[in-house]
Amino acid sequence: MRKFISNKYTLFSLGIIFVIGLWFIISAFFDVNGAIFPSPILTLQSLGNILTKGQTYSSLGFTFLRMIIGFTISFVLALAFGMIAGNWPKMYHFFRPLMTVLKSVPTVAFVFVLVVLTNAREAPILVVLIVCFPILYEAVVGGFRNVEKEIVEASKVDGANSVKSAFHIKLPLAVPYIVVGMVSSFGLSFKIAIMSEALTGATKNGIGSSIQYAYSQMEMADVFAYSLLVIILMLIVTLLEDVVKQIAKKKGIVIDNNK
Amino acid sequence: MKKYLSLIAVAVMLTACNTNGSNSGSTDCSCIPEYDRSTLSILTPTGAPALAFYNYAGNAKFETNSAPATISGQMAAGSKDVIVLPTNAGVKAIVDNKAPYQLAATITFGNFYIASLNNDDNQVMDENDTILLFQKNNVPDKIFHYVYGDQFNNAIHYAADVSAVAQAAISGKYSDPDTGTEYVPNYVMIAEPALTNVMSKKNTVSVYADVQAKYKEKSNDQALFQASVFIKTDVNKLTATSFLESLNKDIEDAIANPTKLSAGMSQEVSAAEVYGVAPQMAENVLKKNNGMGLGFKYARGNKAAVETFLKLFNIEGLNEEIYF
Repeated sequence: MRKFISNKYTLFSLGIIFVIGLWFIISAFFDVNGAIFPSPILTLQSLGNILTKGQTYSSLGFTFLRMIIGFTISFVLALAFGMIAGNWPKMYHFFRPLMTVLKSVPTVAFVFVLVVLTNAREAPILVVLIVCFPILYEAVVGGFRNVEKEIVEASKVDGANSVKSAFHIKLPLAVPYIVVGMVSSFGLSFKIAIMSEALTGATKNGIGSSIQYAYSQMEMADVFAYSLLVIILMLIVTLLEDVVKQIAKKKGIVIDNNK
Repeated sequence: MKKYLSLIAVAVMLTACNTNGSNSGSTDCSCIPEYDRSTLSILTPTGAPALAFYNYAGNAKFETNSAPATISGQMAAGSKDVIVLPTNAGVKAIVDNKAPYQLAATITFGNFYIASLNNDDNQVMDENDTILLFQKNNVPDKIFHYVYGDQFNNAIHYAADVSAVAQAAISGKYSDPDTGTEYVPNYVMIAEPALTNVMSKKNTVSVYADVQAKYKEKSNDQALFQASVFIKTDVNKLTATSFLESLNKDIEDAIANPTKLSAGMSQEVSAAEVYGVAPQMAENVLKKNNGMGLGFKYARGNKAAVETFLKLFNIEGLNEEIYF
């Protein structure tokens, strides 16, 4: 019995039941006519309804597309900058103020600036790019810095210059760190894309826009249903993240993106 | 010789195009070409102003946005040929940020109402009631104070936006985000189509006052020049004029026959999200005595009314060049 209760899957299931129970209680206390905090039942009904609409899938598709474009560009840039900073420590210090600025400026400020510089539909792509870039950059730098010195020294003895060593020795060894960084920021980028869509006020093709519209129509059950849909998708990404981390752990890699 | 010929040609054109200032400054000109709806790029806020563009559904150059601040930003950047904004916000962008636009025409003349939750014993809005407004110091707040003065100041509370007001009207309570105090509102200031939406969800809510009518009474029969069309200064004047004439006709058609509005909007797959109102709802509200306040009046021919509205925001002494 004790073993059953301490089993991580049992605990996970109990955790879900706890969250739903809490949701029911809050809804019972605070909700009025589904206008403030709809119950799980009302939300599930609404979820069923939005899942029958083709528009939901196209919105989801466009949000994913924006996220993927932003994430891909961010990854390419982070790889380039991270390789430079990881391979030449002096460059790490040179890039540090830029990374501090990118990490510290509130995301909402980026949204408002970018929406004027570009437009409401493109701004979320750039916001994802800017938010994910420092995280991915740190993952690449961390991967490069964790390559054992002996291996680097040995490659030098064998005649590899620092560029060759970066591409043929450090980069392959840094891959697990980079993958974990990618998986961690992938989930974040999805949330950032949705938030940016809602903040920019773009009215078409995006889950953020759908949430914004549902709110403007006082359809709080729809707001909750879209959020539930995103939570389910995020849960899948989290599970994927756990799998990657477990593989990394088996290979003896300690993940610390702040290193 | 060529120089004289071109001068004669210009003179002939100017004689042919006579500007008719009697009906609110519109240009009645036989040489205005029919407007091609894919010529100018347009950005408008969702809700009532967007409905004027029901014939632009699915048009790649037509864009809506639910955040007025984003539209103001785009206006300052001069990124669209035509921008629709609350008249005060657009004029402010021109005056303060040197946005390269001119005020051409007003297309929304107020869609504000005071709704009663019918929980007030004497059924008369007074200083002992709880009144919920939205957007403090912005259009709804300024209009309310213009109409009612400061007599209700102690009774007023503010919500962030019209959706929060609607939520309060449906739930019958409002929690102040700053103080955390919970109130039971007796009256709320609300805009269409949120009002119709609320009334469909809660049948105890009813219209207490038409703010537009009160504004008219107070301002010597002047209309509330709420949201206007601003045209970029580098847009060809003839193209801009033909666009405005076409928009005027579209609005007149929709008011005369609201089914045209919903039919036009429905050409867009995500019509409800793009316009901020579902097509059927828009049609229903328009049928309710033009509840959205749609209309068309050139700004140049109605300077007094425009300036009365702008005075609420302390915008005075406008330069003549601001008008299209």
